[in-house]
Amino acid sequence: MSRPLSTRHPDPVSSYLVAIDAEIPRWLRSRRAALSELADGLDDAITDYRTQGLSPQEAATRAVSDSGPPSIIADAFTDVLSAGHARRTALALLVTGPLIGVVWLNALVPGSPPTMLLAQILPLGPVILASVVTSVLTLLVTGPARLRPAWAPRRPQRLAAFACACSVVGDLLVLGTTMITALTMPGNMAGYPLIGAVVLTLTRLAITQRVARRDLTRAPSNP
Amino acid sequence: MRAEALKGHLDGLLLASLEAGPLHGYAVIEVLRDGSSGHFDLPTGTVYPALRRLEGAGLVQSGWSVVSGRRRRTYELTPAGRRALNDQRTLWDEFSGAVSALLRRGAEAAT
Repeated sequence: MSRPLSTRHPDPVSSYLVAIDAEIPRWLRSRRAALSELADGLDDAITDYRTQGLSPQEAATRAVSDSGPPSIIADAFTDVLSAGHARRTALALLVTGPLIGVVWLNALVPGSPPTMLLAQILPLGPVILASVVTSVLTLLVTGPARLRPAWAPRRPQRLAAFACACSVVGDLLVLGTTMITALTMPGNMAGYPLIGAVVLTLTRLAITQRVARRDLTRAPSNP
Repeated sequence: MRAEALKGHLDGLLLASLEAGPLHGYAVIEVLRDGSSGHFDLPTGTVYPALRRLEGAGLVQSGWSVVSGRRRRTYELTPAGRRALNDQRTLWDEFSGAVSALLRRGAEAAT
């Protein structure tokens, strides 16, 4: 919890917000905005109780007590924020996928159609397909209510993490193939396009492997 | 009335509270409390995540505005939210009509 948020409120509110914050995963970046909004609501509730004649301490205690148990509130916020996070992850994969694909195509088989790259690295096609399908499914289950299927999971981050895992496998396949080619036929590799492709892929790999490990290996706290 | 008793109806009530225009989170709580003569006094901690969930579903949209000198996040219905509210109304009318008919029939049979 940021210092301004904790010092702005009477003690029961501050402790309450810290307790909720502690139960929401750190990596959910909208966490603080959500908690600030909740803190505003608690301020309003305190003002209401103050106008009814309660002391500041009593008003704060009542406002916190009315708001609900920290674990339940944290759980509700985690559901909402996780869905947004999964959606952004899926969008990022769908945007970076074709971009990185074109960069690799230009680096490894310049002037050739994408099928050439897929033919050179056979498992790449199914892996890309799995990542794209899972990313699209993630967008579907986190999108507008009227488009959401009935089976949509409450916390879709595992779906997005699976798409990330497929992306990791795809990136490793391309990097591995490139390394083998560089070692066996060093003259065949283009210079700058290859460096660009490797840097882009390593950057994405650093992000996607973290998301995949975090959300696939850890059991959800409340599935 | 406790929030659990409203399970399944919370989204419809939140959408209905925003029908007249944009409101910030606590104002939504007040509209529901006043509009139900105090029956629906929803916990602060229930309403804020629910509003964000409705936003994620595209039924409401939020923006920042200054209310009584404070910068607040306010919510308003989207066109999809208005359609969802109308759907909820239709469902509720059918449901409550059916339950009322059955309850009345039971009472009449007992007399």
